[in-house]
Amino acid sequence: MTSVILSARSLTKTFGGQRATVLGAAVPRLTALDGVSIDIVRGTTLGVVGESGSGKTTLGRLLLLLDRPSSGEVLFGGHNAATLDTKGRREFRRRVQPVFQNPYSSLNPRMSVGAIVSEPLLWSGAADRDERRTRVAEALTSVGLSPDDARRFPGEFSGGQRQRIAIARAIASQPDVIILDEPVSSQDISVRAQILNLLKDIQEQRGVAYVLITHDLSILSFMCDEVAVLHQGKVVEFGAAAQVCSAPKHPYTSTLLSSVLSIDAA
Amino acid sequence: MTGLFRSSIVRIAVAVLGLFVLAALLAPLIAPANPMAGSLEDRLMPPAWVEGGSLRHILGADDLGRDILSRLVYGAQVSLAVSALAILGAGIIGSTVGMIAGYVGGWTDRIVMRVVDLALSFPIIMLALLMAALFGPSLVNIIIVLMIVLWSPYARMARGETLRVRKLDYIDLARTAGASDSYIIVRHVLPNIAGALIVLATLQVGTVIVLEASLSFLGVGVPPPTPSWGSMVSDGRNFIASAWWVSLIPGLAVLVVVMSANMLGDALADHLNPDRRRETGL
Amino acid sequence: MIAPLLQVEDLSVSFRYRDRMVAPLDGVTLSVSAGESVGIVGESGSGKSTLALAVLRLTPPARDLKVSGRIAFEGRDVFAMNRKDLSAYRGGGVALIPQDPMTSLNPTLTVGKQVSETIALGGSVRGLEAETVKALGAVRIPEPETRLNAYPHQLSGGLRQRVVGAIGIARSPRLLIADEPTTALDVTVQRRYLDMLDGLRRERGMAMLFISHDLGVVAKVCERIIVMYAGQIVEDGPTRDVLDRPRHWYTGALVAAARGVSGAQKRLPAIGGAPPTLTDRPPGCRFAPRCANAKPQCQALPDLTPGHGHRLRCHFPKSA
Repeated sequence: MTSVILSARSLTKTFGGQRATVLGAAVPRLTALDGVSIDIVRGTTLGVVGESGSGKTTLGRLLLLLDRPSSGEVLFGGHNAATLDTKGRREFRRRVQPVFQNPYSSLNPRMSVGAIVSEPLLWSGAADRDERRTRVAEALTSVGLSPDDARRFPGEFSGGQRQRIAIARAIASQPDVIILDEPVSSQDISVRAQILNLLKDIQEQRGVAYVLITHDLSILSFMCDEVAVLHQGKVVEFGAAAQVCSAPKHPYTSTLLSSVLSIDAA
Repeated sequence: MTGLFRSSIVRIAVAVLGLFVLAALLAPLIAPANPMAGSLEDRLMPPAWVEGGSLRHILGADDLGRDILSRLVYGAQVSLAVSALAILGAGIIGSTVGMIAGYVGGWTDRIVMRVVDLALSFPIIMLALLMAALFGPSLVNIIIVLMIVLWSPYARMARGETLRVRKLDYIDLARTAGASDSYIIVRHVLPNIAGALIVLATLQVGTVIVLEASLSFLGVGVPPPTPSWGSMVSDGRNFIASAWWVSLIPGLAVLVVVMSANMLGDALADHLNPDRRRETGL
Repeated sequence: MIAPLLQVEDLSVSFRYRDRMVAPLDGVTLSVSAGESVGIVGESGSGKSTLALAVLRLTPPARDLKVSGRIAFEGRDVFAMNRKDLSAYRGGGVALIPQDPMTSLNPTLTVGKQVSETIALGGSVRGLEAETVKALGAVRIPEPETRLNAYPHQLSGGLRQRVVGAIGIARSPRLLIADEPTTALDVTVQRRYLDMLDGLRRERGMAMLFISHDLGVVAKVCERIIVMYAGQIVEDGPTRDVLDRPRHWYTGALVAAARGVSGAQKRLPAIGGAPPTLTDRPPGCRFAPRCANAKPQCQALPDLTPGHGHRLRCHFPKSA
């Protein structure tokens, strides 16, 4: 039981539903997520797969406490994350980190790489300035960059390198879970493979769990231990990655898998 | 930033503005005479290159015999300082208000924007007259009046830019790092909207100098005998046909400074334009 | 040997960037025959999108822009075309389907208006509405008559991209250039869209230049694949040959990376480094710094083998 570090319990998120008033038009109600429950087990990778409108990005945001659920809970270490006190919240922030899709909007162009990577350390209160510098250097090295890069600015780096910086930042505070929302979708194919390999290395070395949110089924069996398939806000299938990818049970999963165009002749 | 100085327009504009600022700073050294003291025998003496002029008053003298050149450089001190302080004050207050409104959103945003609308619709001449009537004309008062007029465009722009930046991933990432809202505003929002605000300030230089000149011209700005370009133009309006130099020379100074500031502002705006592809990838 | 529909010879596009001339496209030579479907594959900086725009003479303005080389469409020199000919050429001879339906459709005009606008450019205005409905039907939009007055934001991504496709084929072009048409679409939608596009192409005997970074997509709809790297063509051959027996080391590495892991592999096959940017291209073979098989002779830029067979730009290609 203690191997589950983060959970979603019947998470539901609706947007809109406001009637028209003198101050604005009516906003239709949209259910992005509908009663989703999943567990994230220490050291493993959970794939969350879906197309646009499936709710996968919303799920990621709720797990990161960036938005509040309309109903349901996010459980962290067994406790409801919404009721954490300041200290608990800080712990949460230290131990759950994100990596987003767009490496160009993920890094503040006016901040040095070192400042960007050390930001989570700054706010988790864990380290003093020298220790932060050491941790930043170590994180940068782990992602294949140089400690000297800390002095440079994002504009000097390519897309693939920026994503590495984003990953360095995510691992700097030595989190238990990293939530990756389409981490390689906007990268070139050759860079994609590098980054996925890097993520695998990091997981092996540090035992960090991943929630890998993606629409790209081809990376599922390589990256994930378990897979949850999301369709219109609900989990329609859940199981071991190998199982889901080779013998799907739900018709939507089958449709999804059969839509993937492989290089090999039909 | 260095690319900015490749343009000859920018170099000229910066040189001209620099010249005026330098002249203002070195006024005591440059001015050949006391700007407040006039000798009646030199009344309305024309500039040196016109018949009847002399090197005693290179740019001529006004109707009290005061040296125009001296009044011009001391007037530069007043006009430029008043404008700079007004813009600085308005910029800081307006931007702060705009950033908070844009970041916090909701009712705060709505209320603040209605106040901005109000401020934008207020007739400034009336306000200036009111202030002058209530508190008497003084340098401080005119700076305050100008600040009240100038702050709202900053609020508008800062709010709009903040809304744009707020959607970017690095803001969310700062939140997941545990950063406080004030840290995010100062460290993440501000540096990324500063460019737009600086362009606004540069373009406002023209507006505020003309504004100050107009208010002084009407008599509710910088009080005499302190020279300011606006009051100098006003002083000469009764002699425009005969002693054109009294109004025209300070008028030209306003024109040149405003044009330079505008050219610089335009170049800055183009340079900071996000549509310009700066990365090497196409 | 029938004359090709499109013949591009030594096409280069260069402009000034920060005091140096850079060339997103560097001496590209290729040909497309009538009815042929050719895929253009490459990563960032390969020049594939620049190529598409250059063929249509739509290269965006830039400092000291220089477009050189020769483009012949149905035997006529595209660079020598006057305004009238160009207008017939664009849309009528060669049409473009751009990548992002969000920005390629005007949000303030109805779908019907945008399609009929294009048709009207082709000349006759009689029966415009019927023609518009026909175009929307050709891209398999269900109940096209009901969509004429819809605005782009009211349609789903897949439908929007079909409208973009309708605009593309509205004047029955002989060559369709599709620039990453399915990148912004969901995977299930993508499959259906590609089926539609392929079917339409065969029906009308249109040739197609299909630009993509996705090898799986290209494998499905293209008879021939051209691989581009750093502004140049490095390999050009029949689809199955290029994908199953790639001869250029870059193609080989790309295909391996795209295929993913097989069997007991613990790591994905990856190519170290990144494609060179416009400003730091190596003097010799541009892939040499990342090539597992690079030799000293690779310091000299290899030429592309001429002719119409399987073309290659490599001093030491992989054995067939």
